[in-house]
Amino acid sequence: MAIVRLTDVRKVYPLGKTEVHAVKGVTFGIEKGDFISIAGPSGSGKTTILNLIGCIDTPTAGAVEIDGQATSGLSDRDITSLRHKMLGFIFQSFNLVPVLNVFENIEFPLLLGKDRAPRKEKLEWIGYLIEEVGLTNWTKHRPNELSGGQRQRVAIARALVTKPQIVLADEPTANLDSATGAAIIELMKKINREMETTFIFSTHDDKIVQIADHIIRLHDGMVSSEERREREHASSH
Amino acid sequence: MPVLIRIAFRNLLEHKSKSLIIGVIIALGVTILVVGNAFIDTAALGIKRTFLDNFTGNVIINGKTDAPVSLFGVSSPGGMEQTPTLPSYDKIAAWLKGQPEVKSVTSQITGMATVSTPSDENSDDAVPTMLFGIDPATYRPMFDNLNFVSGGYLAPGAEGILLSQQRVKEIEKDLKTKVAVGDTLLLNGFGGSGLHIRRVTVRGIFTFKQKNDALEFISYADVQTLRGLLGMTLGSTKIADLAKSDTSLLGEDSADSLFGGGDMVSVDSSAAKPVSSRELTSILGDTGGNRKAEQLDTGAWHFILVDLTNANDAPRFIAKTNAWLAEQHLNAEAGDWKKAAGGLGSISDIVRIIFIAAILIVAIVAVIIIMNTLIVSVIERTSEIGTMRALGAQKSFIWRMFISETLVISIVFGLAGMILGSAVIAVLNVMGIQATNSFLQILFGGAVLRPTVSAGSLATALGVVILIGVLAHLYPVAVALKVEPVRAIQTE
Repeated sequence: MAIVRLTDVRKVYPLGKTEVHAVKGVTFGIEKGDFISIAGPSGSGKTTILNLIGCIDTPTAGAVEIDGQATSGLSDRDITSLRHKMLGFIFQSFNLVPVLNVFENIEFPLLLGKDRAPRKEKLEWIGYLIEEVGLTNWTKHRPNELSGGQRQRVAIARALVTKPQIVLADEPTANLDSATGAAIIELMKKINREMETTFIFSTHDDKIVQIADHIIRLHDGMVSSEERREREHASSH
Repeated sequence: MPVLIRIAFRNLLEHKSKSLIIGVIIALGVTILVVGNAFIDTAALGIKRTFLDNFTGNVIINGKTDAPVSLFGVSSPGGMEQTPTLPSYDKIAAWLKGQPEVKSVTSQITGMATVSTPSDENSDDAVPTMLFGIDPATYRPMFDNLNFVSGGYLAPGAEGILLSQQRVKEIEKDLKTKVAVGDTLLLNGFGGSGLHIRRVTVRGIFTFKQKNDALEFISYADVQTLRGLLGMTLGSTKIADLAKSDTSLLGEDSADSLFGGGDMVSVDSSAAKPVSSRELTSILGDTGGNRKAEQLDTGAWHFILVDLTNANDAPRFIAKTNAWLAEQHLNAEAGDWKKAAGGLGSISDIVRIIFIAAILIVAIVAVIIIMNTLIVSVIERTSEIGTMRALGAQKSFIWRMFISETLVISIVFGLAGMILGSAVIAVLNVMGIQATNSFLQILFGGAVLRPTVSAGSLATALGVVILIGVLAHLYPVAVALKVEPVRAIQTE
């Protein structure tokens, strides 16, 4: 069963007295463990699709299902709980909480839910993630003391800390130089293989697109092509 | 430390200028509140002590009228209403003696008189004074409030007057004559039955132990002298019971019907005959009733003042007394020291109301400034709020985050204001603030005010500042709660 399913999804934004049709009837499914790239030029609807999958925006028409659950009609409380439980977010601009240090930023989503894991277990898990993203020596640093690449690593660890089934990354390399961007994508891919977390990222960089094993190309708010490749498998943590 | 408090503290440090703007407003507001409340509380206590210890006791009992009655008389619109005589004085006094809460009881009459010297009997320069007619035997042990410059207290049963030093100076200035103990003065009083003049000997010249120029107009006289001045005779306290035939003329408004239509003067042939004393007495009838009507009513009092063993019992004892008075169908009422002190006792309340009104205006301004600053903060942190919402923060978490920041800033700077206010009061307490005029002496409850801060005042200040913070954060937090998670992506 697809972990994400979009069925004839449309999104219309009002723009003054006119309307912008950002997504015009998109239908596709994403399997669990996919490392999927939503590619396309600016204005093709990549971010809108990610927002709809991430339940931070609602479709004008059509249906979005996460792990078999329709997201339309859910209350703000329920949809927030769904995001917390199922989804992790990596933002283009990192969006770290500026007054919290690396450790605290990564820990932050764990403080939002009702489930409280034992402290020792929690610390071990955060420690593992910090090591995984290579920030062991930076745990006490605030975001403004880190480079762009380091910040995005923090964002990746933060996205993974609640052990979500899906991680959404909106142009995660847009604010990074190409080498750092490539390293971030490699890190995401590694985690995808190790933890079998579904990664959905948008990009307009064709080199990065090629790393994905499932590519959906958008053009003018519609799916122009969809490509599946053989997945690489690795032992999980 | 919980994450919300951690975020709150760090955000305050991160946005120093905004925190400082809000903080300084809060700290100054609390300082003003602490200092103002300390002034008013100390003054109120001073006024209370002045009256309670020196003039009123814990409870006053007086005859009822429609206008408010205080120890200084009736506050009627024209100012001419007589203070009512306490009905069934003996019965009330006897009941009070049987009450376990009562420590001591005294009685008093109050009236206004003008003072002149026998040689200036017709002078227009007579000096007005308020007279407290007292029974020294019970009054002095209850209110030991006088220091004598010369002479001494009234002896029980003796006639005489005690004048304040300031009143003596005014009499000497206005009448251009020296006044000393042993001198005779003329008192002119206006009672229910007209103008009364009494000669009285100056027995003592005093100053109040608790200096208060505003109360120096009070003089003390023996109660019989004051009863005479006020016309408190046996006749004045009786209610005439006239037959209908006797009052029938009162309804007439025609002079002819009142005085008859005949000649104004008629010649009686009997007037030409000599009349013996016996015959005259038989014509006039028994004049004993008239003589009785002119006799002073030695049982007439305006007030009974009561000191209780425990001052905290006053409200309960007043209620108990009023219930008993009602049960006995006595047209009298009991009240507290504030009622007894009249307008003077309410000065601190009036000042407090003005202060609260001023604080309210300052608070509204503070709320608006803090609210605007918080709105700017919310707008600047839209992305952060959106990110938190995207990561799974419920709206309640965002609300708690902002209320935590509001409370942290309110409490931190509120405490700073409390410390500053307490320091100011500590300095003023050591220095003492001199009352430079009579009004300030009443307000301060004495010649010098040494303000002190109470725990209650500090708690009030903290409560007010938290309330201001909570009110100020309501609109900004409503704006923050409207931030959609999608704004995390749209805004940086």
